[in-house]
Amino acid sequence: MTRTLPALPSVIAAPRPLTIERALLVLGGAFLAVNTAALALLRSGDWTPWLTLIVWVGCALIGQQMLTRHLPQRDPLLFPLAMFLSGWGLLVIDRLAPDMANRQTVWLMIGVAVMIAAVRTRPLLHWLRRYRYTLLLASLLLLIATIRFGTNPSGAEGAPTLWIGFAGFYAQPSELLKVMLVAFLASYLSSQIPLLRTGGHRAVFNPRLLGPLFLMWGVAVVVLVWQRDLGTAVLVFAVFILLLYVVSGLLSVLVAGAALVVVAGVVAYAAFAVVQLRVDIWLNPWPESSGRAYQIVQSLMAFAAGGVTGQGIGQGAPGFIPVAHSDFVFAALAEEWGLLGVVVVLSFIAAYVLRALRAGMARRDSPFRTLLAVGLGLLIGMQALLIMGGVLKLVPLTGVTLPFLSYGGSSLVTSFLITGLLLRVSAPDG
Amino acid sequence: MQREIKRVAAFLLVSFFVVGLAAAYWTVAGPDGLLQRHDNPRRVLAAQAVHRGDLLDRNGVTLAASERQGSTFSRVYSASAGPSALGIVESGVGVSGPEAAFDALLRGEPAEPIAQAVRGFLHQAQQGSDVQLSLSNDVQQSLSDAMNGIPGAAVVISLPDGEILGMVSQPGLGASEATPEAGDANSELVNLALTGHYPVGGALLPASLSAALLQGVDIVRTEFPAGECAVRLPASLVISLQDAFLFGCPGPFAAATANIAPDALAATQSSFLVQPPAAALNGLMTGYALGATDSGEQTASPLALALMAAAIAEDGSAPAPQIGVGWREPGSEDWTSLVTASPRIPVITATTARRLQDLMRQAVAEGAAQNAGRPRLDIGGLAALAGTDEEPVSWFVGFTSLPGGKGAAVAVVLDDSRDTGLAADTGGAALEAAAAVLQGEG
Repeated sequence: MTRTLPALPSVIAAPRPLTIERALLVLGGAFLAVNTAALALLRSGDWTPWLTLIVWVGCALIGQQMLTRHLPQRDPLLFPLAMFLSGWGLLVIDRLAPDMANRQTVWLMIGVAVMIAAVRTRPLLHWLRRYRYTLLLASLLLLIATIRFGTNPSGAEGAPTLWIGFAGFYAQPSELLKVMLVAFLASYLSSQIPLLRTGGHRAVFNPRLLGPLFLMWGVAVVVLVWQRDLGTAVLVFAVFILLLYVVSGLLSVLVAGAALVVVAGVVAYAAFAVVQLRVDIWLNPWPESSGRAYQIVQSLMAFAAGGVTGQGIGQGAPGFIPVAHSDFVFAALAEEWGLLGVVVVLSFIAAYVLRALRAGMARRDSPFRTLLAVGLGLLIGMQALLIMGGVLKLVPLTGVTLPFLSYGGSSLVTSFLITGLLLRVSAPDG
Repeated sequence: MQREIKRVAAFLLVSFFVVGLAAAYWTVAGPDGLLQRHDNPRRVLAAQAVHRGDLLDRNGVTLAASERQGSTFSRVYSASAGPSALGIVESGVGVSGPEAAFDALLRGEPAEPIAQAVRGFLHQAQQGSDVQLSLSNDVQQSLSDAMNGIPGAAVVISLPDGEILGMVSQPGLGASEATPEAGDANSELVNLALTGHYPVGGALLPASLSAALLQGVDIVRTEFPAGECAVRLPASLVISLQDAFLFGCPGPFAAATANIAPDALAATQSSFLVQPPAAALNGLMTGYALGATDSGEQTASPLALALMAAAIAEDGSAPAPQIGVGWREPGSEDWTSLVTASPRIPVITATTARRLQDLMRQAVAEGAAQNAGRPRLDIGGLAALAGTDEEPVSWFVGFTSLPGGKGAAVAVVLDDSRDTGLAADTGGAALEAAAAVLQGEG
């Protein structure tokens, strides 16, 4: 008598993407819980860090549920990476400036809501492509409004007035402008790909072909420079050059872009005192370590104090870095989590950027989506590199935020909006 | 576009790698120079996080200890010996007195890297060594009580070894004022007993008398008008040089230029103001002169005159002063000696010294220094005035001899005071306390 044996699977099944996403969120939550416990103990049982963690867990759970419902075939890494980095940022802000952590927690909820809205609004990508001029002009108008109505939350005299305030909340229009500009570039360049790929140098430097693009981009940069938001201007310039290279395939675009950076740098050095200051203290901060270069010198000392393993949360002295929770959050993190923490953050941001580029490359069916994903990935990557390089004295300080980690509602919400758009692109049906 | 996107990805990866390398440089290779910079505020925090060792007196009584306040420590001083005697700790670092002289020991050495990492992980403070000083809490207390807040300074040293048993400097910082105001540091942090410069005036009469004896002057029969003395005498009263010594009258010695050559007098006075070697007092006195001439007037610190008294009591040679006795590592009971071997400093001949001893005993018995006398104690001393009418100071310089070759020497100066009796009484109280301590030690 013969018996039929049940069929055995020929290969071990690979973990499902959503399982990976869930596992990563749990791992991130565990890391944050351990550090939150340490912070709460350090503050003699203060429960407010736990509240922040609870909000984070709620955002992670709701976000994951909503994404699974509306975008089941999304990239499994983007959302956990964004949540983990923003959670770590909240922890650092809570440790440095507890009052601001509450506000940032609210911004996290808004950010996740914006991300979900971006995922749920099916025609969003279509609108970004179709109404590129309208959306960019609206963003520009908001930015221009800061010239007349702008303010600075710090209230410091002479500080750039890049925010528009309402009912105690402040929004930075340049953050939205960055996304709209990338969407505009992606839309415009995708419509010109055949000409740009075949036309070579003539096409790239043909005013008729790229005139409107240069005009819009130029107006944006001029307004940013006018408002002394030079960091964003540099960022927008770098993303523009790299996108143009991706579309044209011409190395000469990169060479011309680099030459322009040098020329613009020289002009800015002569024209703006703030640029002069930042270049001077970048080249040699040590003679003015107690004066104008105090912030960057303290930043480097924070790295040195952190060593390989860091001092531990609440054990270092990153408070010596002025406004560490904003531009210098990377240095504060280095002091308390050491080189290990720095490597983790670097790896995770790099992973986020690579997933964005990968999502773009996978969308061969839609050049707009490809360029949008690449542009948004570049935006996050270049912004992170600019501020991390500045904090480490590799490049002059630019005053941009570290995506997901730095204090700043506009920056956090924009980063989650970018995550939502990238998740859309990453899904074949998105 | 795929190729270009891959190139851009590669560019970004390389950039992130470079940022990682830069971070590794500053966290691994850079810290040595960076963290030691004077403008690194973390150094202050690190220094304040060190559990500084205790300062103990010669009998093991705690004079200064560290008390934990959160993650840092503050310094607490005993009532008897405040920061003026023991020094000041600022931002975790000793900046004056014994706190500065023994700073490295008190702060301790950073542990080996692995032990340091474990200590850091467990948040254990770096522990410094305890340092035992020659100071006696009892002598300190007696001296403090006797001075009773009067401005001035005093120092007591043991004989024959030159260990400092007590020192008081007033006005000084109280135990609750361990952090001086910026700008007051120079005036408040100086230990006047060691480094204060006071006009010596009649306090240097032993040198004058010694010069007279060396030149063969008959000090009993040579007489001059008394002038101003440590005790109230008619200024026109004619007295002998010996009586002038007993009653603290410098006038007759100044008038005896025909008997005592001014050059010889100046040379003898100079030799009486002993300058100990740099290594004495464990380097505490490095850079300080114990005597000086200010606008033609001789000035000296109480330590200089205490050493003069010691030289007289010790038959002509002064010991090098000492303050450090020993130190022990945290948790250890084994003490390592801090006593430095220094040669004695010759000042005068033994014959002259013995003659001066007798006269100083007589001054305490029946002269201007009677208030220093104590029952059953062999005390010799000299009370004198110095300074100007507007800014007078009162001195007592003396010694006590104890059985077994032991003894103590003292110098007391009261600022803005003409009360030599109080100075002598203070000196007597200090010598009595010192005698009790030294006899108790066998």
